[in-house]
Amino acid sequence: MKDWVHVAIVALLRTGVALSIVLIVAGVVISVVHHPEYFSSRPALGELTSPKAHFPNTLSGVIAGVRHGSGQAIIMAGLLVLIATPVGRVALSVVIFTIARDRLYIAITSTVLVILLISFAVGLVGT
Amino acid sequence: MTPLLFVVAVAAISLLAGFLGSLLGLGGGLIIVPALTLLFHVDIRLAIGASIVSVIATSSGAAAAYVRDRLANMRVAMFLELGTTLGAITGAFLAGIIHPRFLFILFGLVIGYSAFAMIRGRRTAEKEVVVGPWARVLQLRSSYFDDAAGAEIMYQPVRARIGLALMYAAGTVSGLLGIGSGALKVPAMDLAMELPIKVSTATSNFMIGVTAAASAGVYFSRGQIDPFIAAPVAVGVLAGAFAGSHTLGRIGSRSVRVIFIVVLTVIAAQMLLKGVIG
Repeated sequence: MKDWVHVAIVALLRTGVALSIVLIVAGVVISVVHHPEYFSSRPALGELTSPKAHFPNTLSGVIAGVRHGSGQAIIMAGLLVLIATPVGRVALSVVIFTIARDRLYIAITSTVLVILLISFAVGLVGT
Repeated sequence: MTPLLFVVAVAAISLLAGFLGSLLGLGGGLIIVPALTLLFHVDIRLAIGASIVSVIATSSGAAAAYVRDRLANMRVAMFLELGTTLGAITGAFLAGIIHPRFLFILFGLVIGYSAFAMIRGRRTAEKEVVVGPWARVLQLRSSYFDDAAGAEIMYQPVRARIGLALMYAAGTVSGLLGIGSGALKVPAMDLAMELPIKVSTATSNFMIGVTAAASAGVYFSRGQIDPFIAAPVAVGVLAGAFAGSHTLGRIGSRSVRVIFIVVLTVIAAQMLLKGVIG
């Protein structure tokens, strides 16, 4: 494969990871600043880490939360960027094989991309 | 324990897990999930959701280096991802409907197997094999520059269909338990498809992120990714893996292996015990 292919993939992966870490750390800091009880309250932990705890689990929910400046939603946005990074890598691969006019691998990478997109839908059905 | 202390403690444990994991070529998940459940009494399904995110972080970080060094075989990765992603969705879906006690038992067995695989070491097949139609049509043949040998090494992967089937199984385990399951992927490529070990390891690492993203999608939609658990795990494991990858080779890997095998065996026993007793 050509050099620019490697450069593009490496750049995409690095950027995705770096951006997500910045968002996650910022979200934790904002949460702690907004909720001083996180420094002292023991029951708060049980609520935050209980299987019944509520946190945004839809894209629109996360976006709405980020607009309100919710630390929790900013953390989730960072986690979503992290999850989306390999998905972006597969999408980039589709582009790369399209440029190379490699039909077999256009089909393979497109199928993987569709499977990844379906995974988000399967989770909603599974509940 | 206050939430802030919890976040700091989990980040510290995750740092250690990422560091050890990267030294031995295992993901942090094998240590993270037992640590969260046994030490912090986190629900195993939330622990798995947090772990799968950390798997993506370490894979994406390490994959960048492997792609740069041309060690990962992109075609092999893309083809096998058909199997791992479907498997990951299957696994994540199953995780939502089976009893947590079964998850503990399965986790114990997989950790035990990983420890066993490390003791046994690796065998290399040296016989002539026929390249089947699949491997030929898929154009999997490639080469890499081996630093140790100081030469370009050509190789021809074989048994593509068996590799794909094994990847479906590896993907299922990954999605079910929130681990990268590199311990299953590497032997599949090394033994079944006869890729050079360095290429197997690099390609496995490259695929793990995509595999984990498939099950993470299911976990996110189902509300199993708790930001207050996943945040310190992701950042901790990533920092640990980064430190580990820059330390590799400076520590006697034999002693690290022995320590790790002992640790894995103890963890396996504890997870099994928790699964059986409840």
